[in-house]
Amino acid sequence: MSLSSQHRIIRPAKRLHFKARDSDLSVSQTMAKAHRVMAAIAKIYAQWLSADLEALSAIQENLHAAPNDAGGKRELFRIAHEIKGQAGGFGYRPVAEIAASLCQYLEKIETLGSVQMKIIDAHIDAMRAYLERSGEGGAGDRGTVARLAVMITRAGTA
Amino acid sequence: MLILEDSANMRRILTPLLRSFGFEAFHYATNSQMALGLLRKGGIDLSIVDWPMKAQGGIDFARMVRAEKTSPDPYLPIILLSGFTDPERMRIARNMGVNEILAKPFSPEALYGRLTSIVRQPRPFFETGSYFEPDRRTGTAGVAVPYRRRRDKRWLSARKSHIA
Repeated sequence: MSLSSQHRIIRPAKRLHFKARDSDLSVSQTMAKAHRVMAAIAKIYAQWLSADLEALSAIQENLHAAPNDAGGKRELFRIAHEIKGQAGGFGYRPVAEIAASLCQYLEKIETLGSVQMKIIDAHIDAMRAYLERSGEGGAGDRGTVARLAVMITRAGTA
Repeated sequence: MLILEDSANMRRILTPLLRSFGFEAFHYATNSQMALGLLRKGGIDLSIVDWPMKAQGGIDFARMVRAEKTSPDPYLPIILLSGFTDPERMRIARNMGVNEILAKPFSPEALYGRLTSIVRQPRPFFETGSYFEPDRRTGTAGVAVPYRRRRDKRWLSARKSHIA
């Protein structure tokens, strides 16, 4: 039997198509509604970010005491990854970029020594500093990621 | 709507956003087993899952839904939200049978676009002995696109005559 006679193309029933109600709103009205939702979340996102940074700081402290705690490193990555995936959507793009840099760095390194911890500290400090500055209405520091990249390169792991 | 997402913040973002699009009933899971249990109970037509930060996340769920013989709904539409966008992870996600992939952070327009595509133009599934997943090709469903590839001589000649 040839391969072509063995394969099947299945078109599942358009169940969602039938269930989806025709909205009274146009696409642009729906988008406007969605953007209002995002704007409402943006107003409280600083609190969420602050809580995430606090959690990062707690793990950072534990890692200074026990650098070989693999669970701590995983949790550090998980929170940084969460910040990376959210902060950019709510006006904290530089924070998302710093978090992305931290994620990338954590994926590259296997063990945590004093050099690695210094780089991790620099990332967390930079995010915290940005949040504090933005709370005062200050502009973001777009050069931070570049400076962190230089730091990583000098440490020899980039 | 099933949301498999272990981040409480992301659930708090997705729920009101999806509500603004008109979705009404939400079921939440934080791991694949829990999600599969909810799927077995019925009443779920669509799922949004995350890239797993721990074991038993969205990719595991997609594999179970598509490949397991006891799957309650092998055709369930699955949208993967992922903070990872490297080609290797995207390949894994496609191999596990996700319908659509959306990179985080996402815009309301991007999410709406994926949902619209699933509702209006659901991808057909291909099945062979060892292969079962949604059609990976995009942009051709129901649309006559005679010359898609730029290297196609017919495309070049059509473009030339259009410019002339």
